[in-house]
Amino acid sequence: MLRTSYLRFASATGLAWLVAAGVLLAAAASHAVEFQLHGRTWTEAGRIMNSTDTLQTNFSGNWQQSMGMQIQSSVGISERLSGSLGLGLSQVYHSLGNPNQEKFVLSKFVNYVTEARLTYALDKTENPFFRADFGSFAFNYAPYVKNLGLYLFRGPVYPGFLVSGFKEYRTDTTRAGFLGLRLHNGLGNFQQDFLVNSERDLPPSFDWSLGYVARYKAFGALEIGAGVNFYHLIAENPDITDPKRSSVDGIFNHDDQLVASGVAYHPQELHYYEVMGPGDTVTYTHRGVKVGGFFSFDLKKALGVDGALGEKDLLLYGETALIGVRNHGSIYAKRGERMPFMFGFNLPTFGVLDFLSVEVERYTARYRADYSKLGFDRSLYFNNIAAPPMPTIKNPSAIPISAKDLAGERYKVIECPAGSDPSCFAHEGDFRVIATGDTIDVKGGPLDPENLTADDWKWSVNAEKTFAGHVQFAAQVANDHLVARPTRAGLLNEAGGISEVLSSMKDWYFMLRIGYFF
Amino acid sequence: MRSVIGYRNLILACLTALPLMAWGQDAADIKYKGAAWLQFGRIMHSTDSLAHGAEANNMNGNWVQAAGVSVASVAKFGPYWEGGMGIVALQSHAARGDLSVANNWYTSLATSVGEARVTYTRPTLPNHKLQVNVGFFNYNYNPDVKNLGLYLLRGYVYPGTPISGFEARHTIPGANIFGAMASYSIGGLKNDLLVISETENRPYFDLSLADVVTWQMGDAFSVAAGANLYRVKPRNPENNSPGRDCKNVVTGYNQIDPTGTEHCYILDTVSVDTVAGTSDVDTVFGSMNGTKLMGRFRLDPKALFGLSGSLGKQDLVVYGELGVLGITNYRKYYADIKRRMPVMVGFNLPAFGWLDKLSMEVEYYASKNLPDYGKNETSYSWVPRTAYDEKGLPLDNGRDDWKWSLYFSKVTLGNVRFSGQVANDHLRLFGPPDIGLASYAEVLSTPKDWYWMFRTTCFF
Repeated sequence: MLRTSYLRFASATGLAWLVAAGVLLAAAASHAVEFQLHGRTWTEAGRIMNSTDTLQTNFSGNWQQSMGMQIQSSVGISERLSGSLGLGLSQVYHSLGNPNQEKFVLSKFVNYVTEARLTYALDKTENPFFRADFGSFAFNYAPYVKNLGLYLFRGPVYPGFLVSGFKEYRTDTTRAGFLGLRLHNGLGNFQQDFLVNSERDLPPSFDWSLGYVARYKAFGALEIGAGVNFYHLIAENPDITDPKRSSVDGIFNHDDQLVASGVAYHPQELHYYEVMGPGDTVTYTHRGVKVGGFFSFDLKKALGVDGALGEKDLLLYGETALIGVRNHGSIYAKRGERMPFMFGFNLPTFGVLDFLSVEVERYTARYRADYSKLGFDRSLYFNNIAAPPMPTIKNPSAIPISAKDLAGERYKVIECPAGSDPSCFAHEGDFRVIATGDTIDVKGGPLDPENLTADDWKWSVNAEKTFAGHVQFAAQVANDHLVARPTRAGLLNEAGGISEVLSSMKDWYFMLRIGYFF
Repeated sequence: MRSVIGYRNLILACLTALPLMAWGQDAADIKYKGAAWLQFGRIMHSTDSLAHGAEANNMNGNWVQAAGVSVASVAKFGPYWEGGMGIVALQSHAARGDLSVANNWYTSLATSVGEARVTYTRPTLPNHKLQVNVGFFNYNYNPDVKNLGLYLLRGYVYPGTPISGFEARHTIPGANIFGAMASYSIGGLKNDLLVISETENRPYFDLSLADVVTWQMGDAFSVAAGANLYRVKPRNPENNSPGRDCKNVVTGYNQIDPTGTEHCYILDTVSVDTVAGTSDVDTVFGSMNGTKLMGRFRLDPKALFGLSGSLGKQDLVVYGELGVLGITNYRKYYADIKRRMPVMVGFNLPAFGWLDKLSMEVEYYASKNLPDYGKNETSYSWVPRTAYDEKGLPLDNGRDDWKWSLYFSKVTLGNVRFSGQVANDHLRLFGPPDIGLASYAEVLSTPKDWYWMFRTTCFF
């Protein structure tokens, strides 16, 4: 199913790209057009300084290195019609993993469509009365966010995983994050956007989500906004989005057996439904509603401070959201655990840097941020290289993974001392073997399902400086929701790449980037 | 089928992008360049298939064929800043190997970043210039080399690994350094200081520090010398300098020798007591880290003697290079520094404008170690692989001391280039596409071995 979906996604994206290219070329061929070419390239390197959770893969001390380039064109076809298309290429490496895995590391290439968009706008201002974007396009309702936040359109609802990382897709608006339609309306200081977005990052694929965001700018210094996202509102296949007993033959067997066994179990060991009480059974769904609010406050303008301060200095901003309005079973029973909030502040750099920001986030979800039960396949969203090593079930589940899946029955931990027969390091069916030196930190630790509080706080420090108008340096030190690329655990096997790397307050990483754009 | 679809999309993308680029010349100082090429050739003779002792890597008579496209741009941002970026798509075909594995043969399509650099150049004093490169960029300290040589920045130190092949990466303008370089020149004297992140040979991401000093004396003569502190800052020192309790053994590649042999250290027999039937064996510890040294020269007799007339610009140029692949001796395999000193000499034959370059290069490298680097790539071993003949005796690894290469190139019609090569060099081919049989061994191991390659390039 995943592979089929992937091909269909590839076809849809390719079709959008071809349509955009064809329209632009046809228009360009028929009459003179306003044409601009943009490019950017970068090299980046960094290191995961500490990663507490090594159950699946040990990322501690792993260097992350890559480079990439993008070519993009924008065409003014007529007074009101314009378009953009582009392609990008990133050269990446597997994560190094442990000393045995890193010997299999390969350099890989990821090609992608940066944008394939047609736009109709009544005028060319930033906030026209009417504008429509169609295709694959970028949209960011809070462009001051460097890393954390942007909850409305990043990540699933059930489970409520948050998304962030260095130059992540939705904060780096040189790459499209939406596939569908955006309708924009501007009225003075007010603007509103209506979005129809096809899901292409996470299963269930190709469901349609409807989003709405409104923003108002007051006194030139304060902007407030709010939005809603009806996530997976229109299902491409309701049997996947809302699994029923009849959806797939035997789909509920695992849950039936677990419930019937009479043994105590954690709800996260279930896959699709939960018995809450006699006659009260909850079937979990991928559908959900996100609501959120955000603000930015420019202290410079509010206080009338000017002079040597940089354009982005002293900006305070924040965001909160409810990831899933409806309570759902015992796993999603508390709204308070589904409400992340973040604050950011641009420190004064007096023009030495473009910005130096600090962002802090709190999110108290009590489950592990691991996508393997939801499943995803080579999503650009996650910079993945290859298929995940072990999707735990066939159909995507809206229930987060249980720690028991990792350290209990599915995974048997066998220590392989130095000099062991190399076969010791191999997979044994569904069991995973962990090399000596890896840390196992679950039972009673911060990753214990009863005690998943070690990752409630996230933080990020970002800096950027542009020279000569086109040359850019960027840096980030953070403990965020990074999902690192998988390791290569053998000639054909891969490991990791499906869960967050930083799971306790001790964890952090840094990234540096240099590049240019025109 | 999948690669065919990919190739069609690539062609479509290129056909779309190129005219767009041509129309898109805007006011900024951005220049575009591109090339497309097709190359083919044949391994005429390969004495042995050392990779794993099986016949699958028998390259005798194998055709080698590839096609590629590159598009790049150079952008200037004011008087001092410049950037370069590029994309390369290569359609390659794995070597077929032996007939027994011919059913595994397929085509692969790979795209890569051709260049991703930022450059800052600024004159400091009259006749002085500073240049800083950061990112993924090209650097070639010996641009006369067509094939053999360039020992300082190519290949391992232990085991000493000369790299060569037809229009191999370091001999063409594409990027080959991931890191940074600061160059300072005073007239004809130039110093290049490089910090290099290792991305070609495993372990990846170790840092090397290299320096090259070049002195250009008029148009006729230049000399250069350099040192490379190879992997001076290893990412994980335990990988590179494993010691006795190392973990540098991994399976998966069946060319790797059995566990328990010399993976992490050398076992050197120092004495044998034939009466008692015992022997003393020393354990020698070493490292993949090491120091390379290089010296080179270039002499253009045309400029020296004022010759001109019908001779081409490159004709009669003599050049040469000497390398030292590791200054530390380790017993048994690295005991004699002279066997770690490859030397090459090249001469541009007079082509009188019929060809741009017609070069003969000869190399002597007296290493007695087996030219198979699978053990190093897949086990992080600093110890060379050993191989034995049918009688259990070590293979005579001195059969490949001499290498040679005859190369030509010609640009015609302004934008079309032909080039070709006949050689017995250090060519390595990724073996037949059975991944378990991946080859890191040189294909040409005796004086009888040779191959030829031909390439047609269209560029703008």
